[in-house]
Amino acid sequence: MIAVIGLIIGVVLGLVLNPSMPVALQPYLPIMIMAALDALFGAARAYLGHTFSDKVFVVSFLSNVAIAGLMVWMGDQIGVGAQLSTAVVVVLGIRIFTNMAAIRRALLHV
Amino acid sequence: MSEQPEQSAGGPEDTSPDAGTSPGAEAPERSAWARIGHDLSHPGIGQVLVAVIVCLSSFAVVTQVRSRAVDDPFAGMRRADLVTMLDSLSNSSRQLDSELVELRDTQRQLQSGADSRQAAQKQAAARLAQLEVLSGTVPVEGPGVTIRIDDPNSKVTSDMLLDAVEELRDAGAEAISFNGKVRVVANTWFSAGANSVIVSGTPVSRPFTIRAIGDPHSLEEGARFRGGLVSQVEAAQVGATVTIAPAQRIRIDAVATPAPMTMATPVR
Repeated sequence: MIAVIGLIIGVVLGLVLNPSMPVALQPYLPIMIMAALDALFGAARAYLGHTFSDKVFVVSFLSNVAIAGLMVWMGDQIGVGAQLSTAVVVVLGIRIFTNMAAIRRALLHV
Repeated sequence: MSEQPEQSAGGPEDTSPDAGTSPGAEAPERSAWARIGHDLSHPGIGQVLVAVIVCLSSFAVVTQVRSRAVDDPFAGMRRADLVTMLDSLSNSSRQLDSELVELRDTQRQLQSGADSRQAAQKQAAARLAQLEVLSGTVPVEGPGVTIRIDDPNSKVTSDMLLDAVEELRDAGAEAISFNGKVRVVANTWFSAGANSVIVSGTPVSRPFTIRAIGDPHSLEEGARFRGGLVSQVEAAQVGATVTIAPAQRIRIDAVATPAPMTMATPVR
């Protein structure tokens, strides 16, 4: 319930504050969002598998987001930013699909 | 996608050794929903953490979505792409510029052509109107005189009418008709018929009515001068009377049918 409230608060904050994104951050935010989604689905899967831990969740969330942003930044520095961000998106997308499959099996048994 | 067993690595938590373990790894099927319901109704400190992170994530998502909706599509592009795009754009702009110059040129040419054609058309229309009046193929109207010759003794001859036509032309008549039936044009001829005068093959009976379009005053003077139409016709041996009525608006409906030129061809 609290998680749902947090989701709503985040959406409302984003709509009300309407923050202007710094230009330097623009290429990294989509990748960071992908990493955050991956962490969230991983957490849901762990929760359903009775292996959930707050500490692990927070640390994995932060490290996922940081590593994703860092990889794209490094790719930009060495000139393969576009390809590397594609690679990160693909890997995170596969992980999200896998986690979703596990969640589906736990909840729906199919 | 790939259907992997639950215990395969996938989630970030799977690899953590300190994840809370529970005997319900192979939990009974119905307990998953029950546990969700139970946890939703009994919030703990862990859920607050989850809520904070979910809040952050949704905030980021909303920010990103809105920035994409507001910003132009070029904001997210890389420098090399932008340079390439700018190159191609300036190339096509140059092409379009030269095309514009060409089209302006064509437009100017066409416009001058249209102007000269319009002038020629106007000239031709004026000439056509002139020739139509001269050849008598259209009805005309304008200021002029109506000359009525009452000839009770039938003494007025075709020669007198021919003289009258010549005098009217001399006075500037532009269109002449007899009795409203015959238009006098370049090839009109007069001859005497039985009890009438024949004008271009059409018998014109007495009394004669001559309508002439031109300056009314000049026409009247041309008819009245000494030795002219009036003095000739009203002479004692003829005994006819002439009535001249000038008017500002006379209409001549009689038209001549031009015969095709079969013999004469222009010499150039």
